[in-house]
Amino acid sequence: MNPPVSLEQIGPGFGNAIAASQSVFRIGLTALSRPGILINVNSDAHAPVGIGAAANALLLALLDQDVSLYLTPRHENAANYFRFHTGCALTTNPRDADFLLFGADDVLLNLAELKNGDEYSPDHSATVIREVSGLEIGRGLKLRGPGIQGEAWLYASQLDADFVAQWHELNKHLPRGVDIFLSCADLLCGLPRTTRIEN
Amino acid sequence: MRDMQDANADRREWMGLSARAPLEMLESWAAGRDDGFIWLRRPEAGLAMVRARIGATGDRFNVGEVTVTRCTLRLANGQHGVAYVQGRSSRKAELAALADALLQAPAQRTELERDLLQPLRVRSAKVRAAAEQEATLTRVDFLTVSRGDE
Repeated sequence: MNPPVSLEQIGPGFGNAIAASQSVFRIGLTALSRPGILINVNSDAHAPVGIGAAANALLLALLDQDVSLYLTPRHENAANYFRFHTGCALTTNPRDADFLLFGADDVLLNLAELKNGDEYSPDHSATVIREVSGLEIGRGLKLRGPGIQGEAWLYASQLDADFVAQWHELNKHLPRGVDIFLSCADLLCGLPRTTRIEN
Repeated sequence: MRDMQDANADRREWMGLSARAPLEMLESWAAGRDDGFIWLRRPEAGLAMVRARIGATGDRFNVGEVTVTRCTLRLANGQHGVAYVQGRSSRKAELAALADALLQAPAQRTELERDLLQPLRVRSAKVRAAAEQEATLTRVDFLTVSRGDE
């Protein structure tokens, strides 16, 4: 049983929760089915300090009482916000989490150690939202895979140095794996497990 | 629980009173008021399972689900109001939450006691008395008559 939520630090969520959740959910689907494009997320929710609008809107749309969220210590202030607006559980153990949020200044945890499903239910895996300090297309990492015609180029500033190596390692275990959203302010880019990053 | 020293007893009472109040009484109290607030959570309807024990001692069982509307708002002064009311009236949830927020400010308590809570208490007592009377009229006391030896 979760302790009671204190209302002091909580800002408003979506003005129209149903319409906004649906449209943000649609954006999330588009992002994952078209890796390598940047999508603008418009949201009227007041994100907690330190969380970008896109990441915040996506979490508000995706979380519910059946899933758990992992926040890094830097984002502890946002715990009550997500509990209040979505009813999600919070976990301090990233291996148990269904959703994980990493801020631009956080170090991404080893993706292989997160929930990555099993051969029968590869969907029982974690979804990671990775905020970065800049997102651009047309240069940087070369992406190939389903949803990408030919190739796409994605540049994420301050992305972890070993990210590509981790991704390659994770790709070996398909269909198991994790799906990632990269976000920066109100921009969102999907990186589903089927996307290959070429050097 | 009832015996425990309860810091929230007052708030529990007024939240209960406004949740059970008819919408018209809340509307007439709120008429002409203009309290600025923002929504933290707009009114949303959901289901809550009501559970009970027969004679308050038997095993707990599910009576059924009721529709509940809840909302949370924040006044300009930072005070929060929360309401959980039975039914689907979002207006009623809004006014109940507004009353909850205003009642937490000591400066307004006297005025709100007079204009809102006291009339609600009177009405609540009336409704309760009427229900009790009706129940008494139709009350049946079962007693077992000894059959004695055959």
